[in-house]
Amino acid sequence: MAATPIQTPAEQALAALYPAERTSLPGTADVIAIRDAAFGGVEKSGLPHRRVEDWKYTDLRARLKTFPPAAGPADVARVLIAAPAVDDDKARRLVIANGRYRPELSDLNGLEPGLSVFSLAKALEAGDADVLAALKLEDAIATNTAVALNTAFMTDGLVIVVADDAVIERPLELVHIAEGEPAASTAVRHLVTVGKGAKVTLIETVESLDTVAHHSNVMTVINVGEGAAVDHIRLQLEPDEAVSLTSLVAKIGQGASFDTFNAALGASLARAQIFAEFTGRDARAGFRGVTMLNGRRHADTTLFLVHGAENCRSRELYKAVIDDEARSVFAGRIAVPSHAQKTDARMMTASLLLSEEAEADAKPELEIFADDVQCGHGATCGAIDDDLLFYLLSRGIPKTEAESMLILAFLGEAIDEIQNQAVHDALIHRVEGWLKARSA
Amino acid sequence: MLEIKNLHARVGGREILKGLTLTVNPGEVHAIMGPNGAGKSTLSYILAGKDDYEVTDGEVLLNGQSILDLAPNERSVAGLFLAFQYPIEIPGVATMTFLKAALNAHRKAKGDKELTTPEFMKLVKGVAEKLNITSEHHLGHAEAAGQRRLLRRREEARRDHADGAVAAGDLHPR
Ligand SMILES: Nc1ncnc2c1ncn2[C@@H]1O[C@H](COP(=O)(O)OP(=O)(O)OP(=O)(O)O)[C@@H](O)[C@H]1O
Ligand SMILES: [Mg+2]
Repeated sequence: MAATPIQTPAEQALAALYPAERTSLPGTADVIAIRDAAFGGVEKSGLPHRRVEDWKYTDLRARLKTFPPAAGPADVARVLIAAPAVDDDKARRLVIANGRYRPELSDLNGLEPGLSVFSLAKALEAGDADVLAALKLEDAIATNTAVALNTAFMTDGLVIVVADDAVIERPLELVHIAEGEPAASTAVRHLVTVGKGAKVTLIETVESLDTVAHHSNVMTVINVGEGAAVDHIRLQLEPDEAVSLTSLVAKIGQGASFDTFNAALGASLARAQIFAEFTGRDARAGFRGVTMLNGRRHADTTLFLVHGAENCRSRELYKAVIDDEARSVFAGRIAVPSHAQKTDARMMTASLLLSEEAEADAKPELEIFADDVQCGHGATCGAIDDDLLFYLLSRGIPKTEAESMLILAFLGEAIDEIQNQAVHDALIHRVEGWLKARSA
Repeated sequence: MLEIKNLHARVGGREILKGLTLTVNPGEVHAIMGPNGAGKSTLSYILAGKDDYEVTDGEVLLNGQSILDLAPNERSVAGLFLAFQYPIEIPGVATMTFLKAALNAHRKAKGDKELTTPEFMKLVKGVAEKLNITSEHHLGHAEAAGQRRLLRRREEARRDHADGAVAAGDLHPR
């Protein structure tokens, strides 16, 4: 009798779900073949565990207790009245509810010339050649478990194209809402192509209207054209029970400018992955984020950056505030191939531990094969500075308020890099709410 | 009135204060002098309530009330605080945020209404004029040096008009 590998309940659930759902997922036979290949890879290797280097500190196999079935259609009325996470009249809201793009809930009035927005599900059904081509990713990305699960289960998403030289004044806000009980899974893929010299701001919010253990898997692929400027900001605001996997794939063209910010404020288990690559020279990019954790929550930020062209500059800054028995992971790998001379990269991660049991793991790595480069990394981890705290206390400020001021100041260094004022303010508001709840 | 009676204290397992007694009456200014390592800073920090200093004997009364069980902020609003000659600069905390929080903590303790931001800014403008800090950038988006200067002026002003409260001012708190 052949030995069958022991499957965890989550792996068993996946093995049962995929065959049941695969034919009802959108796409032509070609798409199904892509899904099958992706799922086959996951099934073969199982969920990654701590002996798999990229998942060393986030043992998905041990942490993923279950895998709920795909979400049904959302209750539109509830989604419609939900308070927006970001209060911005300027932003164009594009709503993805329970994994499905809902144009009727979205603001599509007067789309700027040069901007097109359409449904990924429709493109998959139509077998759109460009979209199918855009699903192809290099092996290192395609075989990543969160990515492969997204490929296998993706139900919809947005295909956004910004034409060359188009300047899109209104930020695009991709609103991901999970609604309903019991807990369900969603997998959404966005494909964003920004033409030469174009300019756009992309905001993503990921949230749930119900405090249940939703699983969300949001993947965004952005191609930043030559000389284009893209500002991407994600607010992950899921309930404490949720599982949140996000992946960002960014190809940054010559002379382009790209910024991405991730705020990981929710979920019991969160992993934000970034796969970025400079594909043309003289480009610049900023990778930043903040994580706030309490209870027994776990959040992982994993950045793979290939500084693949000459004279590109990047800045990486990730900050985490960790309370109770929570655990934050930051893994950042920057690779500089031998032809990428004049590379300038500076990666910094800092963790503020608010309790004895809180844990921060930082794994910065530089792989440098070029000789004329400036690359640095730093990692710090510590508690609130006693001297600063004493100074504030000695001026009459109560301890919890003083701690909140210092925590906000710590995170501010990263948050203040957010250029979009509405998102900046929305995030500060959330952080203040978190701090208030902590002091209560 | 501040009364220090037979104060014994330890830090890092070493006894530093070995029975200090001192009474400071309202309106009096006292300078505590002594060689390096005599325990001047230690005394200041103990009075202000810094962690890590263990009082092993004696008592400290402010206007008849023992303060040794009070947190530093409670002592501060009761009127006892440590004035730093070189105010600490707190990276990322705007001076105005800090000053407003401190002022409102004191107002709250006295039962006064806390000031809103516009009310506070008006007050700051008035005080700044009195102190001849007129330049805009010292008040609004001040650079670090300007902020420090403003803080120092404010510390000095507090020391000068300590409102009958006793300021435990250490000349070199480092
Ligand atoms: N955290 C500590 N752990 C151990 N010993 C300490 C600690 N802080 C101070 N001391 C010791 O306590 C003694 C008193 O120090 P303190 O700083 O109070 O003196 P001081 O009078 O302020 O001196 P100076 O004039 O140099 O400022 C010194 O011998 C010092 O080494
Ligand atoms: Mg001293």
